[in-house]
Amino acid sequence: MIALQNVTFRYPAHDRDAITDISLEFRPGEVAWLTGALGSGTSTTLLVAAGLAPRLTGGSFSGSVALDKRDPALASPLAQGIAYLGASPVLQLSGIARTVRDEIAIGPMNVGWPRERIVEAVDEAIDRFDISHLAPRAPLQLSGGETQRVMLAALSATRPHTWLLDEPFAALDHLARAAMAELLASLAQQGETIVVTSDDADLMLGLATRLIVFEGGRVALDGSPAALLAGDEIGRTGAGTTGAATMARQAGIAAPRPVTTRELVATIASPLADAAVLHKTTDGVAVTPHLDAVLQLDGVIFRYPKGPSVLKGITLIVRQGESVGLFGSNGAGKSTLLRLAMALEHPSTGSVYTLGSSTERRGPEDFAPEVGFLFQQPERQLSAASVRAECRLAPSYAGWDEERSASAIDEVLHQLGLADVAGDHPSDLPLPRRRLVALAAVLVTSPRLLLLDEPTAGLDDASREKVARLVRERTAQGLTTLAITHDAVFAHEALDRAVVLDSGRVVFDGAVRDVLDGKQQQRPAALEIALALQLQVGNDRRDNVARVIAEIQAR
Amino acid sequence: MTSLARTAHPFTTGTVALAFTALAIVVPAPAGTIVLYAIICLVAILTGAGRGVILGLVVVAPLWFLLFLMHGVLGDSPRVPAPWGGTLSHAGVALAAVQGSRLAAIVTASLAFASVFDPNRFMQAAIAHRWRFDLAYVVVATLDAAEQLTVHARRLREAQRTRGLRVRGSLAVRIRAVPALILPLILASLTDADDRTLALESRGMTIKGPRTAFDPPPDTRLDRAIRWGALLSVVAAMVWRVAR
Repeated sequence: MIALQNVTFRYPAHDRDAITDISLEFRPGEVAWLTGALGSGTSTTLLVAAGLAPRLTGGSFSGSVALDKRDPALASPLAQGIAYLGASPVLQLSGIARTVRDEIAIGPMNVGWPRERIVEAVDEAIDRFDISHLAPRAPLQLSGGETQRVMLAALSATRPHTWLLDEPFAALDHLARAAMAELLASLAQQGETIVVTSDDADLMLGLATRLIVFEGGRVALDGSPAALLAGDEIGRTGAGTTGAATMARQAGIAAPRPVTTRELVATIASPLADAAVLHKTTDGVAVTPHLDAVLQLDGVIFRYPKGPSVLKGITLIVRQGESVGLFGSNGAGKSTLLRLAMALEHPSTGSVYTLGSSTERRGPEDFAPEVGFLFQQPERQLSAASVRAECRLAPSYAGWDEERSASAIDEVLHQLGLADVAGDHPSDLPLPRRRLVALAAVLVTSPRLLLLDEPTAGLDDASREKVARLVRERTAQGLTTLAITHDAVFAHEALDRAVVLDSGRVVFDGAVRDVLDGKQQQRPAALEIALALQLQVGNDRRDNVARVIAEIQAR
Repeated sequence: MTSLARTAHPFTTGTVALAFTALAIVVPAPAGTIVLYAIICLVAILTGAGRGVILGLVVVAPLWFLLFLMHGVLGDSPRVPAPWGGTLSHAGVALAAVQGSRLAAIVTASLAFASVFDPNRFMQAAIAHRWRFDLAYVVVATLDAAEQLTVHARRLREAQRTRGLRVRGSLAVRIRAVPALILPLILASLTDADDRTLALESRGMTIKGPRTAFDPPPDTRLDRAIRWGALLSVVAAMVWRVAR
């Protein structure tokens, strides 16, 4: 059991506490879910519980932390049976492993297990996380989602009894998320302690046994997930709730609200037939506009030097004004396709045309700022001394005058809720806000084609909604977006067309709604209810579904 | 096909590189160091570490030129006729040859070793030989620092290019791009150092006590013989040099 008693902690050079007077006990067998708005203190609580803050971070600390009555700060977390996964798993790679298999062996090796036991633990971890196909690969060459799975496997190899996981689902595809949730549930059943920060309320509802909501560094709510998600209080803290509860609130249904789609559908079940008739319309149907191609890939084959083919014959056209989601399991070739579109890579065979020009013998600087590119883990690409300076880079390279730059920067910072930190150093911000800064730096020039690699990973509900709204507004203005995402809610709310990659090939090209089938991809609550109400494409997004529910409730 | 330099025990390649470096200091220059440089290049190429020879050339060629300019062209009297007209400093040319060949031998031996260095194999070997783990990690981190910095620099360069920074073209364009790449690289490296500390701690790298080598590289009789041979050759060279 981990117990925090009156813990207050402030990072060095910060003018306010990250967490204040936190008293919590995490007990064996429970899955405690920490959530809150950006900067509310959930990640810091994990660091403190793991004994890593303030020991490694510095800063001021008061209160006490005890792991089974011992101070966890006296030894490495791993030596005490604690598995700590940070929000950026790539940073936790050891840097000394040649293959994934070696990487997984690092933990058991460091605790001095006999070789036979290490081999057994490594094999078991590889099986448990279904990553045998990754075992011979170099850790630094994995995709973001693959790295996350490998790190989880690596942590599991020492058989910890306490898991402190910061956004462990962020980069995972739907199937890997489901498998991970199942695994965590089974670990809890075996008496292990699981503490998870996450903003995915729909996933956590089925997994967590306890919900702790943070607000401004303090514990605001602590109780049963279903009860708290159904109530009014959670909304006041800035934390998100499930899709069904959000829509129910939008529709004016009083608390306690239904928290699952099944409950919400049951609430409005009786007048379903009428609703279907009322709202059968083709308005807003996602039709591919027959406009200019802004991105065209013709028979593209791509392989990294000395590596196998990552893309195996991709032909794809993205037209002006489209918002396209690029889906597929971890390692399917999605990021590579995006890099080809930005001329960061060039095809081994075939051709790529971006904004009508071939990318051959051209680089990304030839397409900026008309094309904007957000990397996966974009916080690692930030380079300026303040948020505002970061946003000024692209306009200055494009030769914009100061007035035009300032106006565009103010607008994008306001849209993404970053105006209050415009003068701060990006490194001083929490990781999710750093990611928003990177997005702001890309959006500031209003690129005609926007290429996004997991734009909502690790963001809270309110920020994800902001990003979705920005993409929708861009689409309405005739601008184009191509986004890799495992976030089904973002995909449903912001994107119209889906392209699915599997092992380097396009296996589906159609409406996003058809991809979110609940099997390969999670089905968002809004879509689930829209299907139950038989609403057509274009009428199935959250605001519209909530409006329909409100109309039904009013009758 | 895996090269000999990569399959050999990491201590063997390290010892050979260190021995070559020591010999470059001990043997008489320029004749001895020129022969030694030739031997290093030959050994590196034959064992599959030829990349180190090329990298070595890239590093030392500008230095050769500078040494020749500084000592040979601008050096003291007596001066001798140069093949292309004018004169050269006789002593200066000899000094440039001494320094240039010594430098070439040391740089090439080091880079050949670095080009085949495998951090994982080295750590496994260090654990198997019961080295202090923190000491072994410092060796690995130092030898791997250039690689890590390269990866980081590439990432920042890509990020800046996607925003429109021009890094290719004329020399003026490239020079203009340098501040936009170097300063963020230094700052990001410092931030990364903090993050690495957290990573090392959470992965148990700071745990005290014995560790187990998961996959230790085989330390064959041939490896041991080569290591002893390298050591003896350095001792012999030192004795010979002192006795002369």
